[in-house]
Amino acid sequence: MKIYQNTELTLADVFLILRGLQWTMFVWSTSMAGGIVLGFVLALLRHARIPVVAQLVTVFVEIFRNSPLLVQLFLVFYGLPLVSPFSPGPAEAAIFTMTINTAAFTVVNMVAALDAVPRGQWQASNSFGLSYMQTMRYVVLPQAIRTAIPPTMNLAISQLQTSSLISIIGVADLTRVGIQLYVRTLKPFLVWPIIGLIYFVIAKILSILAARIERRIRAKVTWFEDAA
Amino acid sequence: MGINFNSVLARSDYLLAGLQLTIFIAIGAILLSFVVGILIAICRISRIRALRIFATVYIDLFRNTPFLIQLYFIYFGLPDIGIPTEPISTGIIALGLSGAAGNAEIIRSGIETVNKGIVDATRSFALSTVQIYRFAILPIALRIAWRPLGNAFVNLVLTTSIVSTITVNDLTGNASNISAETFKPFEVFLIVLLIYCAVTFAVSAIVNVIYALFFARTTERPLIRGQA
Repeated sequence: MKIYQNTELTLADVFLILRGLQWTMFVWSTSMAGGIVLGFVLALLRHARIPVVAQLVTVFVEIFRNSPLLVQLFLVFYGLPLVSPFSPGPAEAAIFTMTINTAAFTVVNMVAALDAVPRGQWQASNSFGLSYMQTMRYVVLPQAIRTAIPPTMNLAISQLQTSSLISIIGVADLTRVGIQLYVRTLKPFLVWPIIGLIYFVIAKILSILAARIERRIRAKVTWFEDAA
Repeated sequence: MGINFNSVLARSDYLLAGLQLTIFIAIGAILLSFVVGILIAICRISRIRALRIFATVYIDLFRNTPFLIQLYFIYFGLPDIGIPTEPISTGIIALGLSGAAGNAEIIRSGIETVNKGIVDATRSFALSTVQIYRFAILPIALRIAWRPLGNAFVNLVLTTSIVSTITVNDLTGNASNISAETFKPFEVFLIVLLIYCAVTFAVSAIVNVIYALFFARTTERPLIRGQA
């Protein structure tokens, strides 16, 4: 009697892997986009030093930066349905958690970038009669965002790797497909290098992209300083 | 419905046992990643081409693939070639090797900031390469690299939660068990989240103490002390 007949990797598995890749990219890109926007807003709130709100943001950021994403995922996926009316499915829980996690890291990058803009520029803008909003919009943010782009690109690359954890709560991402293929074929030396290689290639493409963007930003900044 | 910590607090001994194991794994992983990181960093800037290529590939591979995949590869892969694996030691080794890649990059950039003149001076005193590293280069490089290394250590502590996926009963693993027993996932994982926060703050504090004790006042003095 042959029980384990289907132990070879076949062409059909390519589609399985692509399907997993699709989920990985979907959760990753959605949570990156959401996290950057949320983190940006929170960073502005914190930078404005609005009493209570700024402290709350700091506590939120520290808690989510100093705890493992895995536990955060468990808290949202297993815990939330029992104490709130929300019962997210795996993908929703994954996107929600990774968005918040990304936001926490983005706040730190963004606040650092805002603080990197010299104090003198605020005073200069003030003496030109610009309001807080105008100074932020036309003077500080254009520079701060430029400073914050490289660390945000690094964050995106590391979040892509961290996103493999969503497989543990049952999202059918690339890692989950890897587990399925491994359990079926029992060939760890074939399956894991393939899955790892896919992550590797995407990360490499992203870091080449990041280097290119960084170079362009630097060129622009030099032009900016020369003109001044 | 409703949040109730009683049944979870009744199992606090179990959580503490998990915390103990997490701390044990974290210490092992930090030490291993530190030592291997230094070795890889030295390989990375070695004059021997093979070592340089090895270090570059090592760093690239470990930094651009998810830790979960590395862990699965080691844990499921080694038994396939006749090496039995045990969850806790596999976890520590995987964490150590993975963390070493990041640490190597940090230490390398620390080494590159060391004044070339110092190296030439030690060489003129006929110190061996090992002595040059031990007494001249590493004390200075590590002082510069210590703060980013501290961040890497904190990250490593958080990453230890992932070894719970290969059946290690660390803090996260035990928390999952408790949540299955008590049906209080929200309370359990919330407490665990805060415990991880406390642990990372403790690690940061220790990193700062070590900096104050060993690095704050080191200039080029270790070289002179080393010769006496």
